[in-house]
Amino acid sequence: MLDSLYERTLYKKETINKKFRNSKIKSRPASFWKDWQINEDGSEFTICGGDGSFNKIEFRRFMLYAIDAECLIYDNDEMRSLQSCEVDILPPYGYNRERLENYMGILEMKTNLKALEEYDIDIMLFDGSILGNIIMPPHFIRGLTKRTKDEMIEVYLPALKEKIEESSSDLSTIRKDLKEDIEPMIYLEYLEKLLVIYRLIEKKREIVAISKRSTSNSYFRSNIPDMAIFEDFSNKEGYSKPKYLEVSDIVKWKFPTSELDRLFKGMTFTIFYARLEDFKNILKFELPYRLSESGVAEILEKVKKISTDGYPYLLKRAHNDVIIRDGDMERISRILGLFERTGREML
Amino acid sequence: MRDDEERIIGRCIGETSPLALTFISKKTPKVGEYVVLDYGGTKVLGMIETLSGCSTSITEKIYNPATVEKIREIEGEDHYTRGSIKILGDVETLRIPRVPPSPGIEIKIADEDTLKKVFSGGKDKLKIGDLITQEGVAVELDVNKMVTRHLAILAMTGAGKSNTVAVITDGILKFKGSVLIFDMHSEYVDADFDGGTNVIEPHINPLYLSLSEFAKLANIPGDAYVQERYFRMAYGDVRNSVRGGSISNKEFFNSIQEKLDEFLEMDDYKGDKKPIVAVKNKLDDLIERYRNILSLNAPDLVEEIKLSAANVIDLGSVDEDAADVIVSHTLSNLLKKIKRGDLSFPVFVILEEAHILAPKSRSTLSKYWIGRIAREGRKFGIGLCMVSQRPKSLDPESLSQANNMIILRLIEPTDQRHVQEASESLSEDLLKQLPSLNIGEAIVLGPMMRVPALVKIDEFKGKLLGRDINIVERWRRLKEEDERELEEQEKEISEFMEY
Repeated sequence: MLDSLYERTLYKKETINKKFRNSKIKSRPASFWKDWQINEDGSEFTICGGDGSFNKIEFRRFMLYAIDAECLIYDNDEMRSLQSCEVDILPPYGYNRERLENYMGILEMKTNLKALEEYDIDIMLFDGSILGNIIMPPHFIRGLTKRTKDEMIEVYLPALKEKIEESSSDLSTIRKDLKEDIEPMIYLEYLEKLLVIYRLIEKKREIVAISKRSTSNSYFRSNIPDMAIFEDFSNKEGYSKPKYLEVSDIVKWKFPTSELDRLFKGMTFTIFYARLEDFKNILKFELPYRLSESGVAEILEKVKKISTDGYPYLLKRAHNDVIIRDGDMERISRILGLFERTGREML
Repeated sequence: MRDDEERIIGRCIGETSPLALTFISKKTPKVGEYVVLDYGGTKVLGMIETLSGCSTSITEKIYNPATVEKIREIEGEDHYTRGSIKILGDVETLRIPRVPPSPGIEIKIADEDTLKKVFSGGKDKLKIGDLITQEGVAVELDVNKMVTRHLAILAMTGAGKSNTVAVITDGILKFKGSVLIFDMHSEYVDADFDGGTNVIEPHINPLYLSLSEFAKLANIPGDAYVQERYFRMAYGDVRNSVRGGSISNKEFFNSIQEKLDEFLEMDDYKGDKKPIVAVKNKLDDLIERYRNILSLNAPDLVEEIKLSAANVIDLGSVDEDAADVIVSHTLSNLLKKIKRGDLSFPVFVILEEAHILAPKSRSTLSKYWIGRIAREGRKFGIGLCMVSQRPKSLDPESLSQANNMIILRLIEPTDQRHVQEASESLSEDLLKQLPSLNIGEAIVLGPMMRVPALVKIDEFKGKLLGRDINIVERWRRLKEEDERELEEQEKEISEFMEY
């Protein structure tokens, strides 16, 4: 770091502190929040939860990437693990980071889907937001014409549906066919993701998406996220009264196929925040169906049963298991025998 | 014998070398356990040196016991073991292979037949115990190598040194050998050794003592030159005049005193009255202190040593200085006689409390002869066994001459470090095992063994006095005796009153 950055920091100390003080929370969350001691559910049920990770090395001619995902299943007796992974290279075009995030999401959901199919799961925990995955199409496909999109759906949708059954995100055949035409490829990947979410929701199980860091502001419409407001208000166990979001109120455009459009636009999401243990962090819960407040309490009791330090252990364990570190990437690169320059060798 | 599948405990991981490797296991092997690995076309023996229990989820980053409880509830007994293995060599020749094992190969617990082959002491073997980790596998020592390459038995108090000495002595007697024990605490005097115990009274004939030995007994320090000169003159004169004749202790010492009196009256020595009187006082003191061990009729101690017996010189009743004189005198005579051929059989000498006789930071008479025997003994058939509970106080030079070691429980780090410095084959990882050894368990290493081993030493079947006494029981017995006596007295009084 340059010394001048210290000087700049000192110079701006007062201004930044002032801004920070001014961002004080003015909302009144008391009417939404309920301090409530969450008891652990004593019944027996099967629960699963997972996470995914990716990493990459950017060589000059290509980018090497690796993705993995794990779903842990706990049935009161033992914990089992379902795993999926992929390693491949991509041309060094733009949007690679976003594409890898997308691949990882697909792999993660496919692994969860496999768990739902192979085990008698009562509750499925999902790391992050399902709603976010549905309502935020990658901005970089907006340049594609409707005609191109329709053609793509007509040609590749059957193949994509077939691929859903596989626990990988290997679209290399299609990719070869498209001759690495980047935008159509990204569109197909987005389509694949929507199809997997569709399959998950179609299973009609209790799916609970849990987010540690949400910037959502649907409760207070403030420029400060709802999560921070609740965090500031109470440090006790408890939850917020649920809010219901209709997808059709949020999404005004059409989903790629009528089948997807019908399902997603007919969906209601239940949103609430909760703290599972005094003084621990607030979590955002999101359920892809409508659930009453008493139902929310029941869900929390079940989640609490498998939580440690205020966070579901299955998600925590899966998170630790899947991390692909830079050292792992170097090993993968060595196994593949890839010794290409990255351009950073002289640093 | 366990079948092959069952004996697999894990696999080798990471970088390996021809000498060591790391492994992981889902089972729980034990430190000191022997394993075999098949590579390079041979079966290679190794020993587990370190082990640590690991869990991917219960890490040091957890600060709440309730979290651990919950994780265990969900994950069950999900842990693994990581350890290191020292490669000891191929099972036939124990030669270290020139190639490292490939990562990923299977690690198997060594079967009993392999271990029996490795731990057999050859033709002239002495069974010292069983492997701690694999019961039923006897550990035998090569007696020739034990005697010629010397031995050190080191341990803290109460860890089983005396028992080990007794087991070794008993083993040597089975070969009709000769053991000479300098018994500092009269522990072995009543021991029932197989070939019999020959207790040798620690009587010294002053006529056989060297001047320095006598001066040491008289407490005349090496740097008191004037005192030493008058003592030498008086002692020399008297010794020459009594040699060959029969004389009592009293007459002998009186003659020395008279000689010193003569010096006091001589004008030539007028200026040295003080040192002459000091020598006279010290002689009086010597007679008072060592009345029981000095005898002009006593035979040479070395001539008392018998073949096929545990020859025990009972030093329990003498102080450290006297013990030093007796040990040094005996060792020097032993070496001389064996060299000259006056003693025809080899002797294994056991020095109890070796740190007193050969201390690290001061000079003693014995230290010199211990050093000489350690260096020359193997050529003439004298083996040394140094026994100590304070290795850090033991002369490093002497300790390093003991190529064989039996190290029982040692807790103090300085002791451990001192032992490690003296022994090339005591690795850092083996050293770490020392505090965790139980009573009677030892690390045995050196040329007398083909490979180092963690051994449960056999229990000596005979009687030994060195064992801890039951204090509470003794108090209780005394109290009962008092009460009984009181009752009897009361009874007698009441009978008397009735009468």
